[in-house]
Amino acid sequence: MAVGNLEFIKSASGTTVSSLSVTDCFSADYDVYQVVIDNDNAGNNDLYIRVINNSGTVISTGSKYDYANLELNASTGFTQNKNAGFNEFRGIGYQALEGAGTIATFYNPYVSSSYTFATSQTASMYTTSSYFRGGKSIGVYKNADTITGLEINAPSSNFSYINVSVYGVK
Amino acid sequence: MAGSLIKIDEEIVTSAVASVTLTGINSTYDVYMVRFSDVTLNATDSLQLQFTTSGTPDTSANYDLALKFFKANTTFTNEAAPNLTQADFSSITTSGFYNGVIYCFNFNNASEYSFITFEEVHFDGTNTEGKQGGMVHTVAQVCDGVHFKLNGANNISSGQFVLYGLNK
Repeated sequence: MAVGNLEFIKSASGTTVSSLSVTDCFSADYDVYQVVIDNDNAGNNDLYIRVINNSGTVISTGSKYDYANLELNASTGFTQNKNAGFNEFRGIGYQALEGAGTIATFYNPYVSSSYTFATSQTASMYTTSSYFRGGKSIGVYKNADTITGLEINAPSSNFSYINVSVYGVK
Repeated sequence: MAGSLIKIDEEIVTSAVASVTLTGINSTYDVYMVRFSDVTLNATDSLQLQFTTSGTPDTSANYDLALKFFKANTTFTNEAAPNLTQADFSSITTSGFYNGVIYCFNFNNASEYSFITFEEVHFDGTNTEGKQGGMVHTVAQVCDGVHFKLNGANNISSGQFVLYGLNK
């Protein structure tokens, strides 16, 4: 029997920042990654996530992102959000007043012959008055290049804190 | 944590095959995880999933399924049906890819049904879509793996399929 693992690669964190880059976390060592995002923010919104290529360039143009996410709102029903040909992923995780936790899986980011795919699950609390928001999402960065990292942005307010850990699925 | 995800079986497809079977689920672990990534087909077709008993796909119409079908270009839909013969991850062309993760529960329990949850994303050659949901095989029996096949008489051209146990 072969032995595999969920192997820790690196973590990054920030306080009172509007953006956090996690660089050089994807490599030829793995094809599939789990990214854990834990954050707190005075504003409630989607996380905006862009990929970083092996030249260190944050890809924010070119209309190469497709995403679809479902907000599971405990108080106001479920909401669909989607975009094809956009300039970032939205909804692979949330920012929220009382905190948000996301587990995202990224597929093939470093494989230059394939697109970069993502799925995610999120739980967050918007206020102290019972506004739980869960989330499920999919996304594809539709360009066959070598992706080595992620830029995670808060579109409203700064992150009080944000912690990101990246694991490789061997 | 090191050693928490134990590789049980793996098939890396580099030349065309009609199906992929991963086996080795037993009493060693309670929960198993399957990942499939960078899966391509040699013709437009749908990737499908069944459970195995003694390494053989269970093709009986005993799979109950419910899922949300995410679509980046149009309104999401629901799929829910009892007594299916498999789960279907929707069709892609030769320009498409499948990627996903499946968790398997109760497979080794002869007195309980076998369950899975799954999250899958694919590019169908034009549009980005994905399915997230669950499925149960409503027969109390031991299942020992999963079987990936296509709806039509085509082949899987490439891809990685791996079965892990979650250490306990």
